[in-house]
Amino acid sequence: MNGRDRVADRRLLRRELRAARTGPAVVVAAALLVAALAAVAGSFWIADASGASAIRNGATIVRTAWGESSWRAAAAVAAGIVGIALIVLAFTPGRRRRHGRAADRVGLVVDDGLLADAAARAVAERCMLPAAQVSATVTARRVQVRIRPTSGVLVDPAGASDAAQRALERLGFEVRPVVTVATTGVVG
Amino acid sequence: MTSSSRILNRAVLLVAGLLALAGGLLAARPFLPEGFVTTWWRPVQRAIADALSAVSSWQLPWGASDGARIAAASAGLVIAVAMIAFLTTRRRRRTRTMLAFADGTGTTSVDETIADAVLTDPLRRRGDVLSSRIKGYRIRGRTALHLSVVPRSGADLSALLAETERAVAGWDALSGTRAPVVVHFADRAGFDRLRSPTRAW
Repeated sequence: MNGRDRVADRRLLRRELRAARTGPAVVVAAALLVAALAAVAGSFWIADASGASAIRNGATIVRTAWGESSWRAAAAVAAGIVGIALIVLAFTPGRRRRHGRAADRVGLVVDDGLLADAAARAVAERCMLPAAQVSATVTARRVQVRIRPTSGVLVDPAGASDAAQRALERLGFEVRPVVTVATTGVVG
Repeated sequence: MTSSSRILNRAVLLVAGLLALAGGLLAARPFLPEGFVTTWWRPVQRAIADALSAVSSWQLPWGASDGARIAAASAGLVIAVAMIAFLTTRRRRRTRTMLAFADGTGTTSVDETIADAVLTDPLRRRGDVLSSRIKGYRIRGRTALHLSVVPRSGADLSALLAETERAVAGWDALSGTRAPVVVHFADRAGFDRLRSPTRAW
């Protein structure tokens, strides 16, 4: 594999981990297309007497609404909200709930839910607890494992953390999990 | 997995967002403090008046026409063409031809079903896999493979990855090429969440 292919593969992997923003961009483009076609149609239609009168009536309605402060305020708020939402969509990375890495031959992408399952199962086995008493959450930079111990049975948080870490390392993801043990247990 | 430009998606969102904010600011002008408005409203008014006076003098060579109409129609046409070009390039460029060899006698194409048999069948036969599928995409002149695997609850993901890499090595040997491959271990969705962690044979 040459350097160019390696860069392309890394790019491919990155695309799997980030949202493309195609959906919102298509909605915006479709709205702009409709507005542009309406402008073209309107500019031809206005040459016709009936078209000119219809467009004049429409313009009067818009001008009247524009003059009323309640309508104008509503339009300003709506446009402001839409504008801010679109700018946020344009600039935020749009992380998908996945982790990825380049393996020797393939690019590997694993959903966060599966990583959480793997970490929770490893901790449950290590602490000899039923799976229902261990839960895990995986986010971009954190793995949080919560243990609800059996009453009267001690749980080793360091051992649990090691078990979760090893489970994730087997897949090539190096994250140090944070383990919290509930102060109240369940009757075993 | 798509080959279309993602920067363009974000550029369209940014331009539309700025236009919406400008519209919102224009609508909110009477409610804003006088000192804040005077700094920019006069130049904006002057720019709009200059633009209107400039386009009103436009004439079509074959007959009298309103300059504003010509400007609106031209701008609308340009934006419409740009948006159609944008919308038609947003689709994913899927391909069912995973490989193609050309020589003097002709071209041999390898269909998706062959890749499916080599790459996903060994995974599908495993007890800890709910489903697996392969899709091909054309990206920058190459065919990239996206292998999606949905494991059962409690599946050993590292063993599954090893099996997947063996299948990909088999595909490399068969095809004689090294196509980019993305393996996606996907979480169970919808009714798959309710399925048993073990398969009944």
